[in-house]
Amino acid sequence: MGAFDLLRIAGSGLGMHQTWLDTLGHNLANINTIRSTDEDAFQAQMVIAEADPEGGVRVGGLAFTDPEGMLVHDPNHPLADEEGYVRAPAVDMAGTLTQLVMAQRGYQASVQTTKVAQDSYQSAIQIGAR
Amino acid sequence: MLVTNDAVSSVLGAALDGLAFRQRVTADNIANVDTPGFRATSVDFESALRDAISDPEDALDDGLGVVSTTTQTPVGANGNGVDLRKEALAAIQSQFQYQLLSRAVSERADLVRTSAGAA
Repeated sequence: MGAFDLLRIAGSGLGMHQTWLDTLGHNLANINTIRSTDEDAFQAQMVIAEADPEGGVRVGGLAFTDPEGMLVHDPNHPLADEEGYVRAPAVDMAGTLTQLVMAQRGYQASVQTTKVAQDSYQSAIQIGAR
Repeated sequence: MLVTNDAVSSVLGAALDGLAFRQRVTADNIANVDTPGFRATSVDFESALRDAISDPEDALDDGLGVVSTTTQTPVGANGNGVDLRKEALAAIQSQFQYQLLSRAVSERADLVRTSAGAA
């Protein structure tokens, strides 16, 4: 553990939550990305958070949702196949928005941790000062 | 310039110089957070300082061989490689380190003043 580890750990939390927020934004932005049935559907990204043995958290990798997606009957769509189907992504909007709030709260908590770290170090510097 | 020329003061002075350089580089990185194609730079003075301390022959008087390297962090859409979160945290940490070191310098000066018999 280094001298300014709390600051580094809080920073790792900020980084992981930033990535999570980024992927949620990406997934929501593509919620209406329609493909033809002979293509894979848009695959939503999911962050795999991993505890750092040195303290803190890191992004261990990304998981992707099923490329099957959902078949939607929309015969007037320019990408529709002979039976009138297109492939829509299997992104759950309510679930994604819920996660968006969770990720935001996690980010805010990490910001609060950096503030506490700063206050603590500031106090430590004052020890014995005249 | 420090009041004395002994080893401790030289080390403190070199560390302060290194930190000041890091703060300048961090400010440069943050200022260029939206500059297309800009790559962030990082400063390492600790390894040079460690070498200088472990090898007494290596005089600190001429300053440290402080190196700044261009980082290979992933770049965004405009080719910019600045991680704002990382730079902001580096700025905070440098500030604390600078405060600690300048306090050590002033206490060192107090010690010298006392030993010189000043009131």
